[in-house]
Amino acid sequence: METEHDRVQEALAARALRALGEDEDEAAEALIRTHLPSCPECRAALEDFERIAGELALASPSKRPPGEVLVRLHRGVSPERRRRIGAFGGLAGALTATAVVIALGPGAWSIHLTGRISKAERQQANTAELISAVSVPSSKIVPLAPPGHGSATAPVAAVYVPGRAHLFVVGNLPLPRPDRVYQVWLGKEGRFASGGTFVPDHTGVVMVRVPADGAAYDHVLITEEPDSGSASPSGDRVAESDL
Amino acid sequence: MQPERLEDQRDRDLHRQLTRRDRGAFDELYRRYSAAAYGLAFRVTGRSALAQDVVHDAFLALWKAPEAFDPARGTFRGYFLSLVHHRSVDTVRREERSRQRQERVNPVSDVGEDVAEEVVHEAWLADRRSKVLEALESLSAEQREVLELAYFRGYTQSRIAEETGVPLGTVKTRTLAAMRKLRAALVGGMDGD
Repeated sequence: METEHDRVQEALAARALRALGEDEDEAAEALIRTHLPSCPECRAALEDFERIAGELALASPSKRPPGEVLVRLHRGVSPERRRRIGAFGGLAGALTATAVVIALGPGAWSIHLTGRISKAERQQANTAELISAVSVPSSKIVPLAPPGHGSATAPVAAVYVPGRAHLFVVGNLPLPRPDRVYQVWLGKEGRFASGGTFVPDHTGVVMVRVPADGAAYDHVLITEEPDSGSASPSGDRVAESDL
Repeated sequence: MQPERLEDQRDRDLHRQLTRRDRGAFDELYRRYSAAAYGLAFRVTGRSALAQDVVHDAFLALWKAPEAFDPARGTFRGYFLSLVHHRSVDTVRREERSRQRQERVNPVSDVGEDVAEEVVHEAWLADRRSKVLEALESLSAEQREVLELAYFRGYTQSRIAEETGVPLGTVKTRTLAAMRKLRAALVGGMDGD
């Protein structure tokens, strides 16, 4: 008789092989989200299935790619352009106590949700979805630091699971200036798409869900923009990082 | 240390250098993995141009975000080739959608790409490659079929069920059985420590 582990692991196996269509993927995600956080056996299976998916590549014969691939790559890995650095706006160090406790270890981030999350005023993420994302072994947590500052001073982080449809921005920020909002941008090769605008709640908590797969982008940026948002990043850069 | 593990250690060292934006390390990783990546991408996409784009994009993603690989979670080889596979399947599905749209407007006969590609023998991957092939041979024919259609053709399980006439539930159980067998055969020898 098929157990819940079997059903979950069927979904994990199919996911690792990229054998799920969009609808199937959403159904599998819901199943995984409810089961994985409390099941080390299935989390281990997920990790192993993903490893196998990498190893199966060796069943194909290796073939030398044309030389122009490396030429294109060398053009792409040239030193990064200097980014425009806007005024930081006095946010450095202005962090308030929060229900989202962010513990910074050497070179690592942890996110602990204390359960006292209050609702932000715009574009709010589902807490359970965020917990689910953080629980997945392949999840990525990327500190977003103010320009010119290291990750140790990062007020917010981007959290995502490669291949999933949402990326979260979580942390603390002071309220923006009057008639201003924060705007999330997702960048790829220097071009930015808006992920939406938001305002922290009255305690400064930020928990925003952006409908995008973080793995499809190479940069996340938060700027302060006019109340209606902007078509492209034009305001002060608040926090950012490469993905 | 076994030769395989020496190679895994070499990859980890190169990756560490890559996180410090070492171009030499990047070029070395390209030299080590471009042929395996291209071979996989070509097998999945069936077209040289698409396979080249996949390889380019995967290595570019590696350069831009080397920290996406976590050495604690497996080998660099597994991580990177998995990345190539994901992009290859995404490319196939995107091209399929585009082709279907175009054919509705302008039906054309399918012209396959015939490109002679040089097969490369990589001695340092030979042992691992033979283990993978051996593990695949240990699967039943039905298990191997669903795995190959999913992994090397980029089919969804629904499409596999349609194409083979096998119920979707059976496709799922065969896939899981195959992956569990592969897990038993391969995972124990994957850790680079």
